Amino acid sequence: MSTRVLVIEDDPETAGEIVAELSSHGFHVDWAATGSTGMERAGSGDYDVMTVDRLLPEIDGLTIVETIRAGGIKTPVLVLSALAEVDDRVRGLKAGGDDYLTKPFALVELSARVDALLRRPADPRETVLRVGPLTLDLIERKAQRGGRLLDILPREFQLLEYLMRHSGQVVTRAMLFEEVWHYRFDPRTNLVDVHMGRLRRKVDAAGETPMVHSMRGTGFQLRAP
Amino acid sequence: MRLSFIGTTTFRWTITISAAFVSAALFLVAVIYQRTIGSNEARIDDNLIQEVRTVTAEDAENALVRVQARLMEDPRRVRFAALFGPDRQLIAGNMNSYPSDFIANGKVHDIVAERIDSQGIEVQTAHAVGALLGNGNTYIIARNFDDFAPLKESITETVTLGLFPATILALVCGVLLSMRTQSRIEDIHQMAQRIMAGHLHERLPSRGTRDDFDKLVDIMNAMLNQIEHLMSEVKGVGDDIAHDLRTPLTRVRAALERGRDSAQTLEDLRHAVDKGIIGIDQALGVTTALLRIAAIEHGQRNAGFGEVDLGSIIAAIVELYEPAAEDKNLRLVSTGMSHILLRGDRDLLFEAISNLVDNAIKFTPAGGTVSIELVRTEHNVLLRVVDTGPGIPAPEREAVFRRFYRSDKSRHAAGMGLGLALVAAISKLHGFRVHVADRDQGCAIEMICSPA
Repeated sequence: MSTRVLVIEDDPETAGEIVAELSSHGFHVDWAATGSTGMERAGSGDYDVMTVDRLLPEIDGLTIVETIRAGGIKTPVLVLSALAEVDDRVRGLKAGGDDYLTKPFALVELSARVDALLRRPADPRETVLRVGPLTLDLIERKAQRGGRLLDILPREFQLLEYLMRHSGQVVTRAMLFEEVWHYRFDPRTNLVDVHMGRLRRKVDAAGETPMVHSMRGTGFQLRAP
Repeated sequence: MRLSFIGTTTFRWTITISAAFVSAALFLVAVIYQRTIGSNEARIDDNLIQEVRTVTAEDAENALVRVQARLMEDPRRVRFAALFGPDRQLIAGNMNSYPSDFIANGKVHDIVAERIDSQGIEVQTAHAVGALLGNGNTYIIARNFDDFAPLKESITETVTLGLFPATILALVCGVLLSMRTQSRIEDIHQMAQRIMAGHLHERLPSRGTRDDFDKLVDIMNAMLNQIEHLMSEVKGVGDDIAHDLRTPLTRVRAALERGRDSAQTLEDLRHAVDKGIIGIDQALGVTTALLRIAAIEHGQRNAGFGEVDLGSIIAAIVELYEPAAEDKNLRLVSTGMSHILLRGDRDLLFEAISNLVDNAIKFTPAGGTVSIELVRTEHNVLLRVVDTGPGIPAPEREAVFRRFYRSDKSRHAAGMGLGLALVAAISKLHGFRVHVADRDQGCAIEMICSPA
């Protein structure tokens, strides 16, 4: 059975693009155009993930999230907002949202975040992560590719850990910045790329099949060769 | 004649002051009256009562002598004295008959008496006191006050001749002053209407007399100057926004048009679309930054506030920018305190400081140094981002924190118009102050942060 996604969005054109993007990832996507239909469907608990627009006719997006959370529904929620308020994100997450994305956003950013929400958290008892020939020892703080020990800095270790936990998925610069640096802002420059470039040169030595891939536009992906 | 001046404050004040003046004058007249006529009358009344008491205490037969003695000296013809028998028949004296309704009880009564003497009979009013004597006779003496009439008349004349013209004069002054005030307000009103209609360069009229109105007009005109200045600034920002949006959008349009007309392969088309997306992202970046600045400037203060360690924010920024600095062959160092706790929004402070570092790296030539200094002064915490770049000329040091301000040197560096404006907005939100320090070489931007 395919993954089911609920999109609650009042603007038909935006909704059309979101539905098309997520469908192209093989998801089964349902669209609710108003707060009340959105609330009804979200309350069914039939979905694996949903995106909720912050401002909706009839019922506000945050009210929907609060209501379904109060009803015990744990479906991961990505809140989308066109508001520029400084504390809007804080409110979105307080209401029960799992992630927050400000409009206008790149579609790849949206699908990467939906993917991340769908990925079940790794077993916390796991002490060694493996992707293909790459191993990361979380206790010893050591990274190896095949038999080659990688000489990486602490921040690069954190980057690699996040990429390995999300291997095969696209992770965007903004996601890396939030998850690895734990700061929330939109780096206008290519700072994350510089750090990723260094990590990539260490992971993919000359002659080896590349594992760290730049995705056109906004993101990166770690794949087993 | 228009009566609208009646409502003016000046007119009301004049009326109030006139009324106070009239009251004071009337009070003065009353006091004078009391001190002259009033006290004389009271003294005479007392004498009458005393006299009657003396006569009652004496032998009743003596009363006749008393009546005659009293009438002996009365050149002004104001005295009465009479002795009436038990049947109220006149025994002696100058009262033609027993006064009607008179009670002889030793107290003062107003009477109307018929005076009879060598000049005939005359009806007079008088204050009278009488007493019943031991032998059944009634002894009455009285005093007429007509000799006070000239004094009374002169006081009344003083009131009418002095007070009324003075009151009229005050009213006339009030009306004239009020109309003058009215006309100045009307002048100001007309000019204000013109200004409201859009003639922002106009100023309220001043008469050069340095009076209260002129002072008020000066204050209002200073306010108008500031408003006009702000309006022109807003207009300038509007033009800048339009420019900053049109430039990338023009490129987008050109790239997409060229792609549609001349792309030979799918790859060509993708290349054109990518250029389009880059341009649109730039335009969106401008609007996002503007909205963020506005949101930070007008936002709720405390939503994201908590205790933050400025030192650890700086450490993270150094770590984040280190590779970029190294790629440009720059040294990026942090000095001073490594931990300072403040109340603030962690993400916004990170953004502000990283903007300063970002600029410093952008403008410092290869081989230079960018340092972030964190020091505690006596009252404050001082954060300083110093670089060995070209610096900011003194006249531009305040302007760089304005939206879209571009110094000629940075005109061609991308995305420079809003970074420092954002830093200024974030500083203000935290109650910090940010300014460009005075340096001959390089550039130092200081943020003065109040400790938690």
